[in-house]
Amino acid sequence: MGDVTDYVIETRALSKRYGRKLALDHLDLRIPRGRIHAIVGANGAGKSTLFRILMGFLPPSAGEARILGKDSQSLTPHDRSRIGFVNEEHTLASWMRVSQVAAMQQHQYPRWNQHAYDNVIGHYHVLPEQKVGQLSRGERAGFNLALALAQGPELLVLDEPTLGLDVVAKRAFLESLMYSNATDDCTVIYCSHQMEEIERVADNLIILERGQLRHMSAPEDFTARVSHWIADVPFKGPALHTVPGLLEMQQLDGLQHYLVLDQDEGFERFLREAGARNVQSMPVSLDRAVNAFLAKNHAAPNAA
Amino acid sequence: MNDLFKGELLRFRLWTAVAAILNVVVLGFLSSMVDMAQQPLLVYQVFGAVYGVAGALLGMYQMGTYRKPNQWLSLLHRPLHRWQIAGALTGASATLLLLATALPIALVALYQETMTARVVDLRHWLLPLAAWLIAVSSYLAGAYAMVGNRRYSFAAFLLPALLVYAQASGVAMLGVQCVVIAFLAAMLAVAFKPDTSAPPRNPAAVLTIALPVQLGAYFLVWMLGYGVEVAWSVTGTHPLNRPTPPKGGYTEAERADGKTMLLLGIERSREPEAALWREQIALSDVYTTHPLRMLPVQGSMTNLSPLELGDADNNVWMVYSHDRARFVTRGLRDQRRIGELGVGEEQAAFPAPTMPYGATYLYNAHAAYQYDSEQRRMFERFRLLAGEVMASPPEPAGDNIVMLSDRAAYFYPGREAMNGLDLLQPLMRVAMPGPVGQLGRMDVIELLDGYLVSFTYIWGVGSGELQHPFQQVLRVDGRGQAREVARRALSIDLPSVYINRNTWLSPLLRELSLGAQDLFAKEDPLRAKPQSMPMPVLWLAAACGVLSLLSAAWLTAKQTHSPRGRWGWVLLCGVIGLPALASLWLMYPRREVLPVAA
Repeated sequence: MGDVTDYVIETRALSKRYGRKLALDHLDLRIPRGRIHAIVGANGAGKSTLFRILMGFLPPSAGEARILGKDSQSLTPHDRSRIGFVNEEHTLASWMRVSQVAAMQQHQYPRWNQHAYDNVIGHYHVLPEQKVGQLSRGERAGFNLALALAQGPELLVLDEPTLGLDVVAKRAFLESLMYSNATDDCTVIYCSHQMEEIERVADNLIILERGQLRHMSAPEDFTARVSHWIADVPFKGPALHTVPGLLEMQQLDGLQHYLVLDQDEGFERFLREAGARNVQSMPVSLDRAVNAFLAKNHAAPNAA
Repeated sequence: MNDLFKGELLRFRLWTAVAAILNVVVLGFLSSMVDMAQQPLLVYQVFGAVYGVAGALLGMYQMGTYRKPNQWLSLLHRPLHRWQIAGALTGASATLLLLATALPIALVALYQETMTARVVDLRHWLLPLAAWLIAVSSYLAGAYAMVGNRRYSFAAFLLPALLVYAQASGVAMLGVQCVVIAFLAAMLAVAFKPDTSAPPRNPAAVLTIALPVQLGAYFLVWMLGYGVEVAWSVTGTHPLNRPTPPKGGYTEAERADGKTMLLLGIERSREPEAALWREQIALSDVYTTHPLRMLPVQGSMTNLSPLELGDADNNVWMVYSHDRARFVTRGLRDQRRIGELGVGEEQAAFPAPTMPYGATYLYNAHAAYQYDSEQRRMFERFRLLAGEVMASPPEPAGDNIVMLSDRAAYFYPGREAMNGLDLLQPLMRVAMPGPVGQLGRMDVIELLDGYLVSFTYIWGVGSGELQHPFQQVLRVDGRGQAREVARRALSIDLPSVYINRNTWLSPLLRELSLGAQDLFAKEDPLRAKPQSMPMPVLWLAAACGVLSLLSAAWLTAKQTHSPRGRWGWVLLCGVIGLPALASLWLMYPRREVLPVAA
């Protein structure tokens, strides 16, 4: 069967151009079946464009995109029933009641899982007779998640689902996602800017930058690649362009803080050779590591 | 699909209820004041326009909200075929429009039928359906305008606009509306897909979308052509804005009074009597007749003007009924039904819908009648020959009466007309030198023994349908023998390339537009067939076709097409002309060129 594949998402040299700007740049991405995969990237990294191409709502300029083994530009209604999608706006019919929306989805999705729906919606104080438009943003997010999981999807795409939610709502959303058994049977693609969420839920971290795949591994493997060095260097430190794997450098209280990628004990030797009297190494959080990684190539005015 | 359908019903139920109630209140109020079944055409046009605008707004709002990227994704990313989703949405809207437009009209018709003595014919029961179809067609145009590519999607509004110009009437008009709806539904079906930016590739889908876009470009360029006239006016060089119009042109003939028209007609006449006629023209009354452009049609849902007249002396109000082919009478004061009134003593049926003019005269396509208040009878006074139709009802022309058919002018004895109620026999019949559809005016003066009659053919010059305007002057003697005494060709005043731009832009689209206008319409004897175009205009059209073909070959090389699609477009541009080239440019973006991967 054509759709049996080890990858839920597979792109080959996928490119998308908007005028003079390349949103996706020959992207080769293969996301294996199962587990929760987080996609992170700065604004404009191409995440939304990637999802829109994968769902068949945008044509690629070049390359190939497959989702659940199917060409993304020719998805059938049956294929769509296997893919759940939750966007950041939680677009639902605001004029309908919760029970009416749930009933509509139940009729449309043959693999509807009422238990999964009840399980997720139980985390929220949502009444069936309430109109969707009357729900708070957090309740709407939870309702949307309940609907998506109850569809019994093989692949669930969550595109910044907690954007604009307060702390309590975010927590409720993550808990309802993590404690739902429905996620056991499907692959989840979680796109977010919130590293603490990704740290909690993701098994796999995918970093996109300027439309290219920059990294893919378990989150802890990524943080292991980034190290934080504090050096006490009198006078001027080493020239920045000579610092190997440099992601970020800050001078605080007379000490120089280096965030570097893929450096081992040899980096300590480098600092000492540059005149450091004292050198310390510290682990970094995923948030700091990803931010430094993404900030490294952040565009800046030429004259700066 | 049913859930989506019900969901959309739910979404707009309040607005629909408000619109339906408002419609009932307005129609009910008007109906309490006047007979809504007997209003002039303008009233029906205003209501039709309101329903059309309401439908268009619904379509634009509904699809406009769904068309936002995330909403569109949520709507279409579900296990339903895209046409099922579109069907649910449009089906719900059509149902709501039925309630907001057709139901109130049907209720008012029911009120008039059951609770008043007014005439409600079968044609009036078609009005709710027509109103609904107008609203649905505008709704679909609005929906497509939002769903389709905004570079060209607003061209869809041209299709409901066709209903304004369509010549069909009655059930045939409903057929035209259904065709428009079917076409718009096909357009929406093509565009209603996840990736709305992708141009259609299937040949049938391409033609479905391309044709309205081409017509849109065609009409837009044609309308922009009027900018030339504005420029002429601004620079003070407009040939028609001078104190006196160009000598010997159709504008002069259009604006001249009757005396001037006759004098212009015989200006170069070498007839020995010409000098005498000029003196007589200066001293006599000139009777000018402009022919009718339309006649009341059996089963037509609307009226050119109300088919009713009153007799205050006898407390009778008479309304023509298409179903009964007679006038239905009711009390003027008590509004109670009295009976029916046909032709003559035997109360015969009228041969065609009959329209009053003046206080007591009436006419239809075949004859003219007089209502006699004393006898409370309708008398046939003027009858046309079989095969001829009325082009202007009888009007006084000196001592006699003149009436126009589509082929001739008839003169009837005025004294007999005044003193009796019998069917009159014409004194003379003067054949027209051209089709009545091109006749702009007829000017007549009485001579001592006959008439001097001028026929001026200028109708259709502005649209390019009449290429050879002319004036003919006839001398009709007392025995009815007509003799041409002058004939002159009139000039067109404006450059041919300007007047005929609707042809050289695309001869095919002009034919298509004219054909669409006449779709399902019966042949109208009061309209003339367009005259053939001058050769220079046809050569210009051919040059535009070649230019369009070559440009399409260049343009398609920069776009993404299959080889068959590309050459199909090149051919289409050659055949259709510049509007097709415009549609090609609008519908297909330039091919995206990517940098080579590092």
